Amino acid sequence: MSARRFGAAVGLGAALLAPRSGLAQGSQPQLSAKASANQVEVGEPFNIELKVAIDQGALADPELRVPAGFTVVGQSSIQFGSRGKRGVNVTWQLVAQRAGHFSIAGPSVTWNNRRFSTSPIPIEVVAGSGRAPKRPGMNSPFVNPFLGPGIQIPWQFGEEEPDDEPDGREAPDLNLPSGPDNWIFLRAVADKKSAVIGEQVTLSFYIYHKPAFRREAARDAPLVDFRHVPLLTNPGSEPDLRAKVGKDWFHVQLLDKIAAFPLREGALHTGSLWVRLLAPRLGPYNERETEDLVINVTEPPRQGKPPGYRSGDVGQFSLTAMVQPRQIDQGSAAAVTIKVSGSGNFPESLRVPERTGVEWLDPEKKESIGPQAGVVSGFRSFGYVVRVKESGNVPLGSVELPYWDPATKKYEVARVDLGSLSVNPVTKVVDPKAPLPEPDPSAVNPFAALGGPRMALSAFAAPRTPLWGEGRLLWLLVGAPPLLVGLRFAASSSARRLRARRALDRESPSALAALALRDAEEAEAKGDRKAFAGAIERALHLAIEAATGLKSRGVLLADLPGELASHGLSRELSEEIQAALAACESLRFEPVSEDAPQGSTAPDAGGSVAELGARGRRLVSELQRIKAP
Amino acid sequence: MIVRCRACIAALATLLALVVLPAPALADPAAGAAQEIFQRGAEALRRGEYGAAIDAFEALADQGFVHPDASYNRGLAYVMRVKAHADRPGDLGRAAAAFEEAWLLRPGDAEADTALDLVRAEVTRRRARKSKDVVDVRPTLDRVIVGLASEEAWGIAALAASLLFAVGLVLRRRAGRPHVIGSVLAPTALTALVVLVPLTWGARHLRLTTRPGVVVVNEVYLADEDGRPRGGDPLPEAATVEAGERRGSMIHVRWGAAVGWVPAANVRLIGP
Repeated sequence: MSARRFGAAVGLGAALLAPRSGLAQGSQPQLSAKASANQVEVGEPFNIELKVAIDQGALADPELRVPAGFTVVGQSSIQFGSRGKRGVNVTWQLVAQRAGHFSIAGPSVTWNNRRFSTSPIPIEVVAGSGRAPKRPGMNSPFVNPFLGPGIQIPWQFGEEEPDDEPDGREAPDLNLPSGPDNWIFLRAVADKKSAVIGEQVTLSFYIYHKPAFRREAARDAPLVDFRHVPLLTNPGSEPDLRAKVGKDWFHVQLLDKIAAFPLREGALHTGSLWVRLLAPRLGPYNERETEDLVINVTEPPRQGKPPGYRSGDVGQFSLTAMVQPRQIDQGSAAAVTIKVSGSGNFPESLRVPERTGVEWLDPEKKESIGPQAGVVSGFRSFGYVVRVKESGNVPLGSVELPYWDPATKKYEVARVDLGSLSVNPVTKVVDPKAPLPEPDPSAVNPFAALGGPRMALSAFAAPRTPLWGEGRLLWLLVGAPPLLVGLRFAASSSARRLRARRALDRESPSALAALALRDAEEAEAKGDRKAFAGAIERALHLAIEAATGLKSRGVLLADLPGELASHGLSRELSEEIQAALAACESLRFEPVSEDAPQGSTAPDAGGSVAELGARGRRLVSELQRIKAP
Repeated sequence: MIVRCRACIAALATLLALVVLPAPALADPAAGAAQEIFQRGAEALRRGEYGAAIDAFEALADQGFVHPDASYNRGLAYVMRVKAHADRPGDLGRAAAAFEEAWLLRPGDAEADTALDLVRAEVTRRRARKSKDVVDVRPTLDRVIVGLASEEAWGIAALAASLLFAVGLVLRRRAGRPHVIGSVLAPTALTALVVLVPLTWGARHLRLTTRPGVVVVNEVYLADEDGRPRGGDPLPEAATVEAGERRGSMIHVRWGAAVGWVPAANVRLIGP
């Protein structure tokens, strides 16, 4: 239980003692305070009880300030009253955390705006003896069944670790395959992981524990994006259940249960509930928090959404209305009370049937909304004052409340008809002698030129995407004509250049050398040695021209090696070329008998025709490998 | 042969109708329900029940139903609430947004144009009554030039310029008179292309990244990205802005030459 809720509970108890007779003055309150024990052990709980008796007046704000080393772990208040005497007993439960002699300031209370306190209470705290901590005595309001509904505090260190024996407290739905801690941990459970805006999501916060524990401090889950309503009247007082985590049994206590209503769309985080615990064997590792749950929140579907639906109106509602009186004078008002009953996220306002001549003033709201069987339900009423400027039978119309029903997963509309008012006309008596009133500038209608409503939908062509769509087609279309023309020009230019190059290539010395070699092969095949020698000679000269740019026909054969060497050819190759050309010359000009066999050796040729052919081809090939200057 | 030609023409006409002519707004299946809500709203408006009328026409807008008559009636319902002295803050802005939407959807709608003028005049009058300055803003030059024609018009013009440029290039290669024509046409079309392509791109960029909106609060100040006020004049109610990127609950707007961020809830976006 949070300190805030304690304060609220005590405040309520104190408020009940308020007198019926205003600011009464009387004798001062009688205060007494005592401790349940003068000597306690470290960790042993004890009580300090304040008794206040008054004749009249109001008591408020009971307070106990404890010195460092003490922790207040519980507080309860009980009122009493008899003839002429009334009062309150306030009991604080404390635990000392260190040994020593202490003087606890006397508890105090406010009466008639003055604070009264008792004398200090001495307490001796001794080191723990190891014995089991004593439970409070029978006079403790925390366990005494005769002292009324005191705030229940789970008793610390009194529970034993759970054993395997079934005792009827098993809650199989709380079993877990494994837990984050073998000793004590917190767990948050949401009844749903997705919801629409305004739909109730029930969050339960459990503590799983083996040893008994006491909460030293706690912080609720922030629930920033949720409107939340507590579902437990006394959080922290729920009975222990038993559940299995893996193979171990744990005590499980429901710490808090909250109805959370999402306020917006998205993956909404609940935040973590945090607790600092006091339990054996925890040591400094005594803080625990629940996981941060994420709820996926969406809007209800757009399809079928009724007019007037407001985001967050989710639940099951009905409307009733009361109009009083039904007969009024023109210009006066009637009271219209509309009551929304049901369960869920109640609407904060209603859409009233506003119309010209009927003025709806801001409503007065009353409500009784709270948890009932885990669901937030009740009623909220809206009391309107409706002023009517017209006369006659004035229909008030109907009030509609469209809402999303999460159970049926569809929209519903709660509706109530307000009926009509009978409005008596009131005629103003005008004094004919009275001066005419000044025209009210606000009465001038600035919208007089405005036309009337359109009663039917006329023909209309909805806006559409451009002809070329949303893609890149437009840029393709814009770029295509110049690109195509450019490509066409480039293609024709390339073709022209290619043709010219081919023509050039066909007449190049290199190409002609190749042709001459083919001629030589043909001549060799025919046995025409002169033509063969001529073709080889021609091929060599053309190959020299292609390789060096030297037109070697005009060079004397004897000077040829020197010329070729000056054009960058090696001496060996030059001499070889010279020898080949000389062989060709001798073959061309020396007489050969007609019946000489093919391949016969010419007298000065230095080799057979076939050998000359091979040598010529090799030399042409070598010359072709040399790049022309 | 004639029969085949007629069949071809009919098929072409059908195809053209499907591609070019927009589908009627009421052709989709949800249109029946939308029409019913429209009728209910119009009847409520006729009876003077502006509350019910606002609910109906806002529901239509929420469902994505786009029609200038629905927008016009929505504006009328807000104006009726203003006339009944039951207006809520921003009602005039919402009315202006509705009339502006009606006019944008049907640019020849004189009634919507008049209504928009009346609403803006009333906003000006109310501001003047509160001794607040009336600020007249004009769009920047780039917006004015791009806004001279629609994206489609700029695009078609760019396409034509592109074609003419290509023709000019071809003619320029010929000899004689065609060469002269090509020599004039090609550079002229190229110049037009250089101008029209950016205009088309600009119009397209604006259409895809921005939407018109109207301020629906009494006034709102522009802030920078971190939410710090930018200073300068506030945007008055019913002012038309160019709304762009949205980040969380803020939206980027341009009002004349002034740009900045405002709460998205303060601006009602217009159109589909």
